[in-house]
Amino acid sequence: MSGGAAARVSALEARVRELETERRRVFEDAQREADAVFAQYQLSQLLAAGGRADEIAPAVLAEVARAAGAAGAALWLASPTGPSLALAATFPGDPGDPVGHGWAAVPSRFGDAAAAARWAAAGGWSGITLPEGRAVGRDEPGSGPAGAVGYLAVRADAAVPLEPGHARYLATVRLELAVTLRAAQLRASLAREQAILTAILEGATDAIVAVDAGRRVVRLNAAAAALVGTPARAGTGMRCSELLGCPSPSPDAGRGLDEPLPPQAAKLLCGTSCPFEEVLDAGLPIVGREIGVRHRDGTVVPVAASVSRMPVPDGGAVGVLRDLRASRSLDDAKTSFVAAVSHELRTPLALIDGYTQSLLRLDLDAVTARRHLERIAGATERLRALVDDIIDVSQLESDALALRRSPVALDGLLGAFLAERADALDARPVRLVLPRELPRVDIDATRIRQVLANLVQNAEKHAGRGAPIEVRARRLGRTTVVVTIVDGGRGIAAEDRDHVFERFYRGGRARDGQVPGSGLGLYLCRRIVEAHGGWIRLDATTRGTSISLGLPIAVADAGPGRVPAEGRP
Amino acid sequence: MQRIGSPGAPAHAEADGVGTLSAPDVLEFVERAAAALVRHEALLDRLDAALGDGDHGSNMAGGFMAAIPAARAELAARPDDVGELLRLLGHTLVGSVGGASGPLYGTAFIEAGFALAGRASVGPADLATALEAGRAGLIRRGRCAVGDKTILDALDPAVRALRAGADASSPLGACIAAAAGAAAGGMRATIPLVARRGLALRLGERSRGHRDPGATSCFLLLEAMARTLGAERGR
Repeated sequence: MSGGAAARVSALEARVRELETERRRVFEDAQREADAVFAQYQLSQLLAAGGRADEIAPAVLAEVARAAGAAGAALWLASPTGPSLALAATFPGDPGDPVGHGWAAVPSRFGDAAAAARWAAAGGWSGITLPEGRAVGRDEPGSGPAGAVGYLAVRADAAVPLEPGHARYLATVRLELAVTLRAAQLRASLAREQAILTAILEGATDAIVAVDAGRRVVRLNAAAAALVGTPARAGTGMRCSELLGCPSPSPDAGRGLDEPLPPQAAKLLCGTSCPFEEVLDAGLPIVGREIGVRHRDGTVVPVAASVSRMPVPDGGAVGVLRDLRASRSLDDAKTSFVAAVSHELRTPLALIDGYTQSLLRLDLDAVTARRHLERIAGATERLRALVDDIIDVSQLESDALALRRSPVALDGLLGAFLAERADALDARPVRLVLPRELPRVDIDATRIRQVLANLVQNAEKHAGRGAPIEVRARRLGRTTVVVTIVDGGRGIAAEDRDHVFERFYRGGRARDGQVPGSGLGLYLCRRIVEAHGGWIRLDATTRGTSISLGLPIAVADAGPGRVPAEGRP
Repeated sequence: MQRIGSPGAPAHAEADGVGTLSAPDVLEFVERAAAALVRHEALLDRLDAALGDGDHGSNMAGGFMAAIPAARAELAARPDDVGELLRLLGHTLVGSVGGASGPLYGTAFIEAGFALAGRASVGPADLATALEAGRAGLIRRGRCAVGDKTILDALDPAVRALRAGADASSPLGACIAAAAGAAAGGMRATIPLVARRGLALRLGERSRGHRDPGATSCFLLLEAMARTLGAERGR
């Protein structure tokens, strides 16, 4: 082989090595490109996984920091409502040392993104503003950028420089970061908002029914489910007419009703004009229209319907249905109360008037005049008692029942009370049954006297002439003394038993006007006893009426219930 | 059964007395790996569901199944270049394995293939060099370190074990078996770790207590390699 040939061979070998080096360099360039693409892919994957802004921020920042080759990084986010930025994440994530050793502390707040950028530039950080998209519908020219979602800054340390392409990488990912982080923030505030609205909706005592433009139920709250007797899950998706039991089965059936309406259903929602349809057609809200809805058991419930259009693109309407039964029955009770009270007021007034007229016009002898005056005094006393009751009730309604409590010996109180009553009782027999020993009770003596007077008066009024009345007291357990008033009268009708302690409630015979009264007495008794922390109830009896009240034993006398020793005085 | 080996040389020559890896072994490895991944597809998906998006098993099984015909065709065209076969396997995996695993495993195979370019058969020391190059590629692409709860947590101890075996002049089969054993240990050690890479990053502390699916699939690959070379030694 000639020297020239050898030289050519070695030149060719050198060329092969050169080409191999070149191939390796091209490959490495391609791999670096691939690395960059892969880094962006990993970030996108992380962003696409979603989550709350505060949860994804540290992960996203760590990913960005690694891709940029940063030794430290920080991310500040603005709330959706204001320009000021708050520190959301740092890398490394140690909160005690947010950006590594020897670095200046990272501010936790900035007034806006521009302030963050100025701080970053001054401190040798490399940062990007995460831009806010232009708000929809606010595209008037010259309005300027709509602010920033946040600011992201990275920094190398002395030993490790940032990746050469880090600025390009940050610029590439900033829109994706901005959109994802803002979306996460908005999702969170939406979820919060939704939770609040659901709590309000479900807590509402009025029935709330939302329908779509086709009048299909899209939502009903617990009160609505109870009103119509259909569970919320089953009711969702029904036609509103089906849910509310309207006679018109479908909105498409128009006005042509096939069967005649039962009289009480004549004002059912669809029966006359469906307020949902009316609002969806005309757009004007309806406030408090009185109509009926039908419970699944067939009862028609009167409601006041307020319906308005939902302010969303695909329409729909929301109705608030207030059950009128409770207020109607209270109205009824108030009406009968007014009637009863006027009757009660008029009777003594007529008496007073009559006797006064006689005294004024006739020249009566002293004895007759005296008797007239006594009658006037008696009628005045009845009026005073009635007015006291009314005042007490109105005070109770405003919760202003102030008690002046002290330890009271109940046997003394009962004895004195019955002795006073003895004169007025028209020789009615009242038996007092007491144990040998009774602890003192912690009560307002005046108020409890009032309760006893009321109960004994009731016994007198309702038991009928000559029926015996008995008042007993006994200790019950460690904390209570029970006082029971029993009469041997006709008792209370079964249908009235559950209601006698309600305001304005009067039993069957009393409603028929056979017995005078306002319907306030037992209600007052209940409220006074309950204000003491006690209770009042009707006892189960086979004959007559037995009412018991439990009163709290005074602290000084409380303790294990003592059994009275046999034969003690 | 005698398999097709490099022409001109006895198949699976044990010239240096410790065994070698040849191009047909690479095909067998791909087939064994694909079978193992299909067998454990549901397990890998379940592990991934706890930390990522729950598709690691199906991605790996699908990708390796797709790589079998490509590897077979390549072996037929070039039966004596282990490096080129591994490199092309890597390129196939980048495209056929879904998610982040494709680019990560693909890079490792490509770099390993570069390290073995032009070699008809390789022994323990060369294989260790190739796996070290693969590990470096994985670290670069994944920007991960040991302890980040990734593939690397199984691969790194395996590469170290392989290198130690090669340094001690152990037979290839024993070296790779030790590597698979070390990978199993690394895989199990990912359970208490907090993830610092990938989708599990967003879980933070909540990623503790779950075995990493990438480390698990990495162990399955090394196990497949060990079975390939162990079966050969048994003949």
